[in-house]
Amino acid sequence: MSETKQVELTSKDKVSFKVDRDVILMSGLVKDMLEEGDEDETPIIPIPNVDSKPLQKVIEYCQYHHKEPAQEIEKPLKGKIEDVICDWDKKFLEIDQSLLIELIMAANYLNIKDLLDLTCAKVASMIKGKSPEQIREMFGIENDFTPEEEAKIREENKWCEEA
Amino acid sequence: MQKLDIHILPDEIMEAILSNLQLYEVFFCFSRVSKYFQQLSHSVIQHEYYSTIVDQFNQKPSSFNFGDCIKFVKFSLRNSVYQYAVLIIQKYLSTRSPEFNNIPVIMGEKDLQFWKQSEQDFMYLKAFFDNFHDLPGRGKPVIEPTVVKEEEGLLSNIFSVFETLFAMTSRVIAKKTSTYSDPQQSVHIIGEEESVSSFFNCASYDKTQSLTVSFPDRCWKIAYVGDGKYMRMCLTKNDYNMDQSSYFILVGNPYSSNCLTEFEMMKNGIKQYSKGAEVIVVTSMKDLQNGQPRFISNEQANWFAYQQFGGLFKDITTTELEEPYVVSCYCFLMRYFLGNKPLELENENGYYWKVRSQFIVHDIEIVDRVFRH
Repeated sequence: MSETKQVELTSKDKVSFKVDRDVILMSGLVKDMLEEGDEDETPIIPIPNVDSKPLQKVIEYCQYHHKEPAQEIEKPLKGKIEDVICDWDKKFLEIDQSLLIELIMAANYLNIKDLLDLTCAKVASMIKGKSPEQIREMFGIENDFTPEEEAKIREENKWCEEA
Repeated sequence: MQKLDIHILPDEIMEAILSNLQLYEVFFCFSRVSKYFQQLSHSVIQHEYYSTIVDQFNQKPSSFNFGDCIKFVKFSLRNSVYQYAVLIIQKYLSTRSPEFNNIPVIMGEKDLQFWKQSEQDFMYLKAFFDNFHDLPGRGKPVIEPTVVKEEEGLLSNIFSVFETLFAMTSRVIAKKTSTYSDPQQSVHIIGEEESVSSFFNCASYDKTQSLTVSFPDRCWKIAYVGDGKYMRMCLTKNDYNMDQSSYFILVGNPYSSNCLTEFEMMKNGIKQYSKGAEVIVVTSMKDLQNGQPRFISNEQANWFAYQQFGGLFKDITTTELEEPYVVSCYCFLMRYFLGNKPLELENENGYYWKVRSQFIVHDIEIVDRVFRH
């Protein structure tokens, strides 16, 4: 029986992960790098922009969705994201907010479209239905509109077109 | 709880996040967070605008300013209302039985769940309409309706109007049901007679007979939209009775060489006599074969509706029963969304979470009761 080819990924904080080559080919970045390298060795690929914690989550995602292709998330979201994703993805997204942001950055860097779509939709779902003040609170953003500017914005929002 | 540090995300990822939201959510929520997010939001809306005018309107992109932005956001809101009208009519028709004289069938739990979810969605959507500061306030009929049948709530009452509006005989259609004189609450269906007839024929259950719509002096059908608010549907000739109406279904024949000219004439009349009216443009000619050349393409009509009214265009050239129902339902929903101010603001900052009219909840309960008995 032939052994599955593996790839070794090294995170920013120097933690190594061995992962099946077929699995990590979901990453456009890794795929491009492997195409340039030698097929016979177990390549060591440095991932200098991603820490071990999000990298582990990325691998976990690829291992599952390598076998179970991710479903496309319809845009714009109709309700909450939990209503349109599978149970495994729901559980996968039960992470703290800072890890979610790191995961988005990792998915973007590693060029894993399905994971990027999933995590972006998760953040959008958190924003959905929130007032500007609630969004500011959630992200720690300062309101830099003056009261005059806010009044002007409201004034410009008329339903009827000017003649 | 730890704050989500969104600042480290590059613009292209932020735009990917925002692409999951409706444009009006981006415009009214996200763009008001800060100046940076305002800029980002406008960029997202601009991107969507360009792809729409190229793909849907077949137009070349031009410059984009704040006026375009808000016009496109309103277009997006109208589109969402239309999508809800589609869902409502599909659900409504699925709960009717045409084989048994159009008798309503018993609603199941799933149906009730649908109406309750719709209620939630309506309240959410209405909150965005409430952001337009010049929306008319709670409309009070000039003459109070004399009979408001409580058991015919918001939706069921509208449905009953459809049934008589799209009935098989022109006599029924032409019947004058009321003389209320408040034109602001009218939906005027205007167009040349052949295409208006086709519009009605598309909605007829009996496809073996053809219905010819005649234009009487005035023919109205009244629907009560919630607790005492009403709306009329009125058939009108091109240049007749346009004054001061708030809603128009502008119907044209796409196989007529005069179609665009007639649209232009009706547009001028609407803008002259009913400035600011809501207009949905429809082409309808079901009897003709697909091979026949059209004198107005869907892209041209889309662009006309958007450019002139910021509105929608729908092509009804098949024998789909539901399409004219949807167009009419859209007008009634717009009446609901545009006609009610929120009852109470939560605070001074114009947040969206407000106490709103409870009439939909009330009506859902009524619909439930009616269908169950």
